Amino acid sequence: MTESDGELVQFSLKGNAQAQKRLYELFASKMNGVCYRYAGNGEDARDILQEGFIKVFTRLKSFKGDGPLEAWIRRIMVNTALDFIKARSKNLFEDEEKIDVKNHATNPEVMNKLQSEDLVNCISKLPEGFKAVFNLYAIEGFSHKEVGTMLGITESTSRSQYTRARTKLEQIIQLRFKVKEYERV
Amino acid sequence: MKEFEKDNWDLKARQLADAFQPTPDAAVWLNVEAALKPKKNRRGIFFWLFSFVGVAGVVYGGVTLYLLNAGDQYQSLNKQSENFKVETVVANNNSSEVVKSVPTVTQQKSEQVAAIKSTTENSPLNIQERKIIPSKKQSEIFELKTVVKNNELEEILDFIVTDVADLNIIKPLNPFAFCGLNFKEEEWRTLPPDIILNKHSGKKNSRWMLFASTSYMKQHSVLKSNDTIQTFEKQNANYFDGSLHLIYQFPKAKNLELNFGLGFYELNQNYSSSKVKTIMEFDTTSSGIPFISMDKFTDLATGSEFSRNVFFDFGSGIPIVACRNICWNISTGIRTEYLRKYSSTSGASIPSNFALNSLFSLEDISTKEQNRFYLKALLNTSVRYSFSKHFSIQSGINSSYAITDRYKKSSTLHQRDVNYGLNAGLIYRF
Repeated sequence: MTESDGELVQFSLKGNAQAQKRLYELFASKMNGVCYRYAGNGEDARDILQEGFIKVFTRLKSFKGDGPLEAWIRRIMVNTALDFIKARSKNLFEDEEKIDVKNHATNPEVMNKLQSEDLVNCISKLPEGFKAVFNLYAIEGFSHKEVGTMLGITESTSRSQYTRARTKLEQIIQLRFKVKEYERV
Repeated sequence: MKEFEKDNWDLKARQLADAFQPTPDAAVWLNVEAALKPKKNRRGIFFWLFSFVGVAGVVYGGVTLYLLNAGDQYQSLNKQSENFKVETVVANNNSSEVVKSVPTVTQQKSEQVAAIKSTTENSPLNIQERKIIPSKKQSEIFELKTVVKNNELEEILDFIVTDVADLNIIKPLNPFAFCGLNFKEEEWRTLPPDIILNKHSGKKNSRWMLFASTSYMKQHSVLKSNDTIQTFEKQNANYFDGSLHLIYQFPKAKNLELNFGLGFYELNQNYSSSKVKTIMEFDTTSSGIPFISMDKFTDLATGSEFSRNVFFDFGSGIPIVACRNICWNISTGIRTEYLRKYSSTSGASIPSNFALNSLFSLEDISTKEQNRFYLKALLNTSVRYSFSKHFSIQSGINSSYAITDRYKKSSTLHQRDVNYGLNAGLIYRF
């Protein structure tokens, strides 16, 4: 935690409105991106962001300062987003389509040419369960064991879901890339 | 944490994902800011409600005591008047008998008489002589005063008494006369005015009344799961109810009555999107150290339910005579309600802890668990004003409290309702 983060936290805890707004402005855009990846649309992302920041400010006293503030806020956003998608979808992994996991490979050039908005839009096209597992494992960096605990599934399920999710994502990216190339021609 | 840096694809994906930082809508901060403002303490409502009732009670009691004490003074004065003898003497005036009041009591009594006289002496009229003249009715006697006005003698009629034997009841001073009925003071002291009215209305054995009323009520509900400490609040709802009660007054217990009633109301209750809930959850810090956090934060659920409710209640009341035709009534009772849901909307999710218990939306709660019976405890304080032999109006404050189970599957979901509002209606004695 940087010194300025610490001061922001202290002033925010005292109810200083300016400090609270500054803290919000500091992380709002970044966390909005996190929320968007889980929600898949701007409207739900806004709801998650709003609820997440309310949690941040109401739980700020439990922030011990033994790690970066951003990581702590990010964790709250991720938990809030997971609560949201769990409530939205009764069974996250109920209707996953059959995917041939053997035949997938993204052209490295495609990944290099890909813009961040493109990737996030492709992620948003994934089914709810795939999206959650991919975000948690590939983007947030949790282990399959941690992902399994968070989503209420086994470690092996998390592993297989991730493989399928990545395959599906690469298919979506390839397709999107081809469409873009076609449009360019 | 996995060693994802070794996986170039994941690394690239993470870099791209982190670079995506869209600016959020400005409304988000406004909503967050609004949610962070200190919540209005709902207990304040009850504080002011009960304070109002308390202050009203004290004022009402004070006025009652004052009026009853005033009644004591009248009775005292009237008893003193029995100590006077009336002597008839023939005066020079040929038109009537001249009567002279002569005190024949002790010095102590005469001082009290002087106090009575002082009220008349202070008037602009100078009393010279006093006469008592029988009217056409034998039971009525007028007192004729001869006074000096503009240096001339003038006769005026003053007090009216109902009977020679009841000289102590002087009409202008009697605060208990009502509807042309001269009640004895003792009756007002011991019986509710309704019973006294009944006694004089010719239906001496009737103790029954019908009370048709309507109430404007506010309801606040809280849902609470047994499995968690999480609560889920619903917004206040306002509604009108209508009811018909049969009231029986006990002839011997005097200040006790029973009531039985039926009623109906429609309730359209919105679920809040900004209510604070408490949640306890297992969490880890960024460094991986686990801790248990218990915090309050705002719930985003929204939705509404529309239901129709019928109720039957019974209870007992204590009518306390205040003065003349007014009594103060406090009653308690038990109400059985049957609630039937007709429609519901669900705009968002319910809290996750409910979702874990297989309740995934407000609509689930609504559709599955709406039709139900439950009990309510009632408390009412009101003022009753009798304006004729058969009719009275009554108005007051109603409050009730209910605890009901709404869901019994993987967990029990309690709903607690607090209702409070104003009640008014018409009473018919038969």
